[in-house]
Amino acid sequence: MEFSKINNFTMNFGPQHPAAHGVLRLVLELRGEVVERVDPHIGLLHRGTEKLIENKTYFQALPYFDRLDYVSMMSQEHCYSLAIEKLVGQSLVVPMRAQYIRVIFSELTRILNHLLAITTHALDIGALTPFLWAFEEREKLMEFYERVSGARMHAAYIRPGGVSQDIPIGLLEDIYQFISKFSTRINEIEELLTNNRVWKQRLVNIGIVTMHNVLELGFTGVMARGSGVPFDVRRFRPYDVYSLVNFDIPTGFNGDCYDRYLIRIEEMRQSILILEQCLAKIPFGFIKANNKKFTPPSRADMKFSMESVIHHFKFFSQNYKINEAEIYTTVEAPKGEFGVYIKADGSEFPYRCRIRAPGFFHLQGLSTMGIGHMIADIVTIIGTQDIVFGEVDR
Amino acid sequence: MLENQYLSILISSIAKKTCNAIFITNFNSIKIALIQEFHLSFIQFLAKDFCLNYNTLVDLWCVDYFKQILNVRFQLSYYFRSLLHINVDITCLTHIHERSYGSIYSTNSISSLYKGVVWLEREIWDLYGIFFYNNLDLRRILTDYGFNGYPFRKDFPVFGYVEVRYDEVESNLVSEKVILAQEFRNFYKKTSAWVLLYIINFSLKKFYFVYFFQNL
Repeated sequence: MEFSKINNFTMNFGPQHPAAHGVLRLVLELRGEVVERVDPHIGLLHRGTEKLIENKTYFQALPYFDRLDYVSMMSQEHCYSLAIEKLVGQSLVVPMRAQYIRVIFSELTRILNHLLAITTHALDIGALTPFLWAFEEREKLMEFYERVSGARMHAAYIRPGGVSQDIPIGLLEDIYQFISKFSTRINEIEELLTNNRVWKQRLVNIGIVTMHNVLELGFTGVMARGSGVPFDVRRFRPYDVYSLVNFDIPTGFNGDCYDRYLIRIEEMRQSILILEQCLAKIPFGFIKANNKKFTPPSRADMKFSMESVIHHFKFFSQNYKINEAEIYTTVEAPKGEFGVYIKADGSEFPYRCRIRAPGFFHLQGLSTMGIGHMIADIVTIIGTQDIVFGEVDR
Repeated sequence: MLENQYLSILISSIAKKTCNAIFITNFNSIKIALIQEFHLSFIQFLAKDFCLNYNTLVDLWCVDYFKQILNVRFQLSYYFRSLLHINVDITCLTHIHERSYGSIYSTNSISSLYKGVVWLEREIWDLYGIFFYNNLDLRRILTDYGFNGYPFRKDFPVFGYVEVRYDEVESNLVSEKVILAQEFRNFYKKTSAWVLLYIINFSLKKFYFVYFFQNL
């Protein structure tokens, strides 16, 4: 009898595969359909954001943060703004109304992100319908973005010292209308997915992450909470008014893709809860710090006050200087813990800006999660990790 | 006693010899400046000690102090978190000293303690050119295949040295020297009067980088 030797074969997945969520190149070593080794090649979208920020003033650096994770824009602006506020200190205190607006938009962003994360995950697996429904809702959320900032995605709305402008009249009412209907929309998505047999067959016990894995690989956000690590920056390092609102931290039990799907659903419900509380509590008042060295004056002021014109000119030409200091700030972005390190050296440029992208750590864990699964499950795992290449490659 | 005070006393009493200084920077973070040759053993102590259990590496980043601090070229910062002391994070700093021309910057990898540091060290190797001993997968990660140089160093220009494009004639990718169609406009650092002043100040400034050991 003759035996022929069976070799493993190596296959390229991507960089232009629709299920790779962008430009991910995976080098997979396969035995039949079983994955033996995963080697992600990233960096195809590397733009050197950190280096570019070192050559921009603190104010000019802000829009780069929109473009990192381009489905959760405002969370990242939020992180950068918090970092600058901590660096500057007492002269840049955010008014209460601005803090509420920030939290409202951070939570809207979380819904925006999770809608995309869940439904593109479903799309990769083969369920098209939730994707179409969720994008209708995303459209409404991006309309809110547009109404406050004029831009549907790259808003540059949350700025150091507050937000760029006050919310238009009637917006809070419309957000209330949206969230009062939105939990039904979640129910509709859940009706299609949660108890769906195909969905469960593809997700349950796939990509299990143990608690030990979470800690040693540095997973954060949903990836950590799916395995029962109850860490949430909003709870343990509360920023802005997160200490004033009540919400639960959903945690998973098995650490598989299905748990993480359920957590994303539950986080959207918790976001609705936070939004309701914020809408009830939001006070009137200023929307940015009143220190005109650090925030630009309004156009109306500039028509009457020479001082404002000077401040405006100085702000948009020279910008402000920050004394020698360093800060590391993290926020709970929808994908995980997003961190910004800024080293100021006394000039108007950051000496060093380091961006901690949660997706970078999650993608590193892909080989741990994926080995031993079928090749189709790799798609599931990429989907559950909620990879966006803008932030992974920076 | 506050948790951060308790932790800094604990660390300083046990690991006095391996660190230069311990700072309590604010309510929920401690900063520790390590002596470079001991940084692996100290981090092992942080990770494995029963009372500390700092077994999560949140982040690792590098700052290039190009010609700013005497003898120090790079500073590595390790940011640790523990589920045991969830309110107090620990940042460890190590310094990598100026080398003679041509020799390589290097330090020890901590990938034997934290699996998640491999890509972070790859990133620093890629962008700063710091070699990590005992990192078993030290390839470039973010830059292009076949990229030369370490782009995040301060002496690397923002626009780089080469640009890659697709050549129709050769029907292949070609990399050519960067030719800027217009002079690189550095609005602030050269042209503006206030920045000139800043540069003069900068060169005159004495850099204080004095570590002190807080005897707690």
